[in-house]
Amino acid sequence: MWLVVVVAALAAVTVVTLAVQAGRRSGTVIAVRRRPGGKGER
Amino acid sequence: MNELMAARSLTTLPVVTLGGEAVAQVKDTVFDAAAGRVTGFTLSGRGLLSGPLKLSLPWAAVHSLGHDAVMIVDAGALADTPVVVARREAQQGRVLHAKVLTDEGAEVGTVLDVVVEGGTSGRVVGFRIAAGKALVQGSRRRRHRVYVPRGETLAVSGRALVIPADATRYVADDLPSFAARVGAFHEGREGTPP
Repeated sequence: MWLVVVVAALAAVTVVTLAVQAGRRSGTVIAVRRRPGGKGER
Repeated sequence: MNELMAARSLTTLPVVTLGGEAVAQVKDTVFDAAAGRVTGFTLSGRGLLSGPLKLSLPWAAVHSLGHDAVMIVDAGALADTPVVVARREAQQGRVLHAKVLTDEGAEVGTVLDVVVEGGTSGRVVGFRIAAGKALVQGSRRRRHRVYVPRGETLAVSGRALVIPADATRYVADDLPSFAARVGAFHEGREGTPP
């Protein structure tokens, strides 16, 4: 019985960890406005 | 024109030095709304459990943006993230799902993706949008996803994107045909509207 509980707990922690990491790594597109000669200008 | 790519497809693209070392992967694509150019990328680590990096990649350090990798000269080209995008900008400037309005005030859809030119230019040439009633007639079920040119009078924020009304006459259903539409749009609107 205790083995089932441990395995279930480990599985839950793994799923949560992977979900959090997937969220942190997922990307988006960001629009900014740069002043001429300001940072980020090439 | 170089190959066109959807900005969302750049996420997870490896950042590789000319020496062949993969130093990071792309997380967010940052572009200058006024200039219509990519200004850089935020990065995340390459490992399975690695999160966002504190370093980002300014466009000035990009050797070439390819279909399978972003090439840089060496890892020293990476810069602190605020150089590419400040935290406040990152929170307020998200364009995905923003409404698309024409400069005549018609809402034509919502932003699904941003189309950028690969190679060394980093130009933003258009947007992939979920077309609304003003752009595609018919029931909601029959409305579809199209590409529209960026236009030169672009205004964009996290809430709305403004494009010239005549840009909506140059929509395309896929990227290959969109490249031709963009060319026609920028060459004095000489293309034939669909």
